[in-house]
Amino acid sequence: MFRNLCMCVLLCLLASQVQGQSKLVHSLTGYIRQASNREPISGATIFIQSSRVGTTTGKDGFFVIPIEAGTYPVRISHVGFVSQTMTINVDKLTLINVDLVEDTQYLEEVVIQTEAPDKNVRKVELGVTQLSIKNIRRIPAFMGEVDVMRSLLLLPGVTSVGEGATGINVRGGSIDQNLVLLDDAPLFNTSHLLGFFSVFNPDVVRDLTLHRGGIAPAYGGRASSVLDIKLKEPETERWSVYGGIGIVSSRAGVEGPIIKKKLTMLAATRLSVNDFLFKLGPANLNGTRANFYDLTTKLKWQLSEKHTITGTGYYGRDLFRLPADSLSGVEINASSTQFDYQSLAGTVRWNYFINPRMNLNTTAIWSQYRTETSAPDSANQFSLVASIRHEQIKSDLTFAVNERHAVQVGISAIDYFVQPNTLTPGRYSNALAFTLPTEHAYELAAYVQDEWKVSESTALMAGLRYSAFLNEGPTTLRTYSTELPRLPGTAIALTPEAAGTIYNTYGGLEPRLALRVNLSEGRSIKVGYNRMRQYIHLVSNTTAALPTSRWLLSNPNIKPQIADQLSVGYFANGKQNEYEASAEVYYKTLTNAIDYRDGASLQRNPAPETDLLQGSGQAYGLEMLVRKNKGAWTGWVSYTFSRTFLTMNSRFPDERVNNGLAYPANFDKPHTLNATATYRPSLRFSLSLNFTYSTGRPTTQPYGRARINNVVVPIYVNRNQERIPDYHRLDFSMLFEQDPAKKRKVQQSWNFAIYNVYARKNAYSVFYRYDPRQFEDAFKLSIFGTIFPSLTYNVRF
Amino acid sequence: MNNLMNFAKRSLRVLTHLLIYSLMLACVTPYQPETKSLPNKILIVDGYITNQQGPHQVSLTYSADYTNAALNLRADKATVYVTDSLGKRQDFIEVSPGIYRTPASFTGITGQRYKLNITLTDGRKYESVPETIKPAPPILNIYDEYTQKPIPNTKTFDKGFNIYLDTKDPVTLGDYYRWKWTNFESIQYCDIRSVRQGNSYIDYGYSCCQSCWDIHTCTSGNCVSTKSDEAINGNAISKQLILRAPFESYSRYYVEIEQLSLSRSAYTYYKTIENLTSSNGGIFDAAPASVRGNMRSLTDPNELVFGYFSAAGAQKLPYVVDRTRGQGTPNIQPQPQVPPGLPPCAACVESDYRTRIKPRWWTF
Repeated sequence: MFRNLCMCVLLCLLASQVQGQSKLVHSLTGYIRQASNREPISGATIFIQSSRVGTTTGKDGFFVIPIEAGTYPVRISHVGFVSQTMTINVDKLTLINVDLVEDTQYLEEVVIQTEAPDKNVRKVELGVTQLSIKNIRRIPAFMGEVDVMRSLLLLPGVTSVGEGATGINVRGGSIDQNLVLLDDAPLFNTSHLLGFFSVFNPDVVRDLTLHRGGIAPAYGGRASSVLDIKLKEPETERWSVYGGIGIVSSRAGVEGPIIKKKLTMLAATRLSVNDFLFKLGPANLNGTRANFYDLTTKLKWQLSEKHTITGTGYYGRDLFRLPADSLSGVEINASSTQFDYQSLAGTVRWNYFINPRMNLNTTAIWSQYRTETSAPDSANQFSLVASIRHEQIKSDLTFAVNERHAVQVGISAIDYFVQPNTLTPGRYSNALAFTLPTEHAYELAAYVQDEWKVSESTALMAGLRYSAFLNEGPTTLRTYSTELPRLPGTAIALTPEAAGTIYNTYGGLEPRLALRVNLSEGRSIKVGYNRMRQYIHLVSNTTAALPTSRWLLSNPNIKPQIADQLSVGYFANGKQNEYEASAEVYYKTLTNAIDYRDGASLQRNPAPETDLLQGSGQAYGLEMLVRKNKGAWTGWVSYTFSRTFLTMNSRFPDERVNNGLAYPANFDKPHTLNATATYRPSLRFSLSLNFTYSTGRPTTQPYGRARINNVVVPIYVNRNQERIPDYHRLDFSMLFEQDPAKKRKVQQSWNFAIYNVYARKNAYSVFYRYDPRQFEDAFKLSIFGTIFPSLTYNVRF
Repeated sequence: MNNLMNFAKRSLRVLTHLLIYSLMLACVTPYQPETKSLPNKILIVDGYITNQQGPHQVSLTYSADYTNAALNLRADKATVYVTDSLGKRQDFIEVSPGIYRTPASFTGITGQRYKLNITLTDGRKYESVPETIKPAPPILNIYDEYTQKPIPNTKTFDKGFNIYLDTKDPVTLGDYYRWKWTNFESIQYCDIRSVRQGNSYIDYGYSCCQSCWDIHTCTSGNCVSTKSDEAINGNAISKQLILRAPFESYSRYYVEIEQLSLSRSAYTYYKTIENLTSSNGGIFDAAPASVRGNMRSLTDPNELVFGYFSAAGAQKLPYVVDRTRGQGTPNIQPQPQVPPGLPPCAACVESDYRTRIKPRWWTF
């Protein structure tokens, strides 16, 4: 390096001497480095604006410009960094050292997303949206909790049945039709506190990708979408500790190298601290407890250039205790009830970089979800436990055959184990023990995919997945007569199947196709088709699923759900990818969609098929998005029109819903408009606004009333024929950060947010209350029906 | 077990509500959607007979719009009778419009099948699916416990006696229970008239001409109390809450408690009603179900008819709460004044809510 410098100086001196005969020529030289870590920047541009000459830095960040003596305005710039303009007085040899600060707006484009800025136009898939955690953080958060799942509701095609409801509905799919992966591990419950907050710790999430159309054949097992959440890579250079304090939860995390550049780890935890809110409340709430915590860890071991092993672990738990005197019901024979939900998931992944054209990824996955409801009283003491376990091994090989073909093949095997509710009575309890039969099955899959550049403008991604589902004993197989409606106790034959026997198989091909045609620079049309098969179902006849809702595997009486989706999209980028616009239409059919009989009681039913109905579903819609990616103002506006209908028809009137005619699904919301904007005038401050509007969800209104046993009973006729009032809301947030360029021992940031700025009382539900003393019959319940300001403090060492 | 599950579900629902309310996130505002109407009024049948001494009652009404203002009209002057499997007929006599009763002497026989027959004045005929009376297990114990808890946002307390029941489930599976209660309160005034005096009103009470009792039954909240033996088969049912007797005076509180042994389909029906009346359209509530019951039209098979006629084994017992055991002073209800002069007495008019007939176990 020093030698280089000397050489340069020598050359410069030489040059100056040569030209010195007419005018005295000097040199402007120096080093350009990154402000954060003092690493040299190669390829940075040094430009003298007045004389319009310039150069770029070499690998070591060094540059030299021969120039006459004088005073010059100099601009130093590099992609991904904030440009600097300075006035420099050059006489003799002038050496400058400039540190460029990373531009975090660019960082999202250049560093976090390793793909090109026009990828939305150029890539073959459609219906895919990626959000980086930096974007998510700027979305105004409810009660200061940065929420990964809630941010998804701002994307086109994503809805939920209400604020505080668990899960999302993607393009007309129920919540169990989304495969939610945390570093490849599927999670069966994605929310804390019954749906108010999501289980993903924003401190360790890198980005999330929602695939809702043209799903690649590497993914399977759910009918509607794949939500792929990636944890960030642990820091390799130094240790850091961070934390935050919010109204709902407090967070802490640590990451760094155990062995420098070889073995790195991160661990982050969140703990809720909201019990005190109950103590402030009325006396009868004093005994209530609602707490959650979670721990997310990642370990990365760089064995060699070619081998990397990564481990991810997640553990999350919710714990509620409810005193009985806050319950006003006649059934409650216990002094308190406790609810306990736990998710435990882990993955180990071995990445083998065979050569620059081949890469092999092998992953072992383990995920379990367990719920327990218990009452501590002696006479009615019980504990009710249900659990589901997913064990998987998969391997994917990517192979770049040549310039035109990139092939990916893979295999996967999943072992499912479902223990539906098991009741264990206490020693002195009157309750009887019972165990619902366990369910055990394998899901095997293999796929092949070719991404083929047909021509300069056309690319095709063709894939085929085959999945098979094998039910394994022990079980007692129930056979029903086709001449009678299925009701409890109407099975005509009970066939015991021994342990280890495969008594039923399902399977089939799942074609996946995506085609892209570039119309011109920055414009493309894409077409996608995919078929998805789903063998595992979350059954719940409530509008929003409860954490205790039952998971069920397909079996001879419960057919797998099959979704076929066709989508067409138009994508256009403008002004050097500053703006992107897209419009997508989709049409989807669902075979063997699940709904419930009137008055179904699924939790304890040993023959759940007697409470389930399977029919067909139909969903279609239009999604439009305009997004601005660069500049001080960024953000997007999206509008979605979507409809979802279910049809449950049968020969038997008992097995029909709405007399066998199509009816809107619970989450059918025809119009949705989302707008989010972030203004970021400097590195230290940003302001965000977020507006959302959607049609009210369907509800069933009573058409009449009966007086039975002196009590007024509503009469319902058809399902989901009315709607609750429309929903709209404006949020606002401000983020104050310290200049990331300046070296500090402690980095602090403050986030101030206001949720529901104009305090709209949005309807959460509409209910009817019969009270002869009142004039009104119907009421709406609003939650979050007022302004919610919140302040979060974050610190990083 | 369904009870447990429902209980768990309901607890969760309450918990969500608690979370919402305690964080002061929730508010309830009136909202008036367009009223929906059924194209035709539907006949609603509600009644049962037991193996206990009568009178047993069937009420016939028509459906109304789901508004507070709408009235459920009564189906009067109908011919109502039960027939047993031997073809023996027992008539129900209309005691007031739409309310039909058997004589006190009529008692259902355990093991016998009964079917209800109805002919309306316009000639439409209906009948129920026959039901067999099952023997009811005896009530082992009835007892009460005084509790009080503050009423949120007020300085007052909800004071009352929780009345519980213990029973023993038979060893056979498939026993379904329903509990009903009827409170009789001896009243002094049979007529209360409000008289305007200046800007306020004064209530004058006119004494009853005869001995008279007000009849209270459950009319709000979870009035249909049912249980299945699925989870507790063969074991004791202990501390089953039947009702909460309010601490409104020191006088004794007289209540008749009835334990009914239902058929499976009657249990499903009452359970559905229970869910419908306790569910409020929230997102954690089950999708609303339609209630059909066991009645069908003989004139037009497509005609909708709602309701259930049940034949059940029963045991009825009286229970008296000694309300002097309450803590502090009772939440006394305002009493009317005696009108000036020599007021006339008011007749005790027989209805669903008032009777001249002395309750069966009334001793004081």
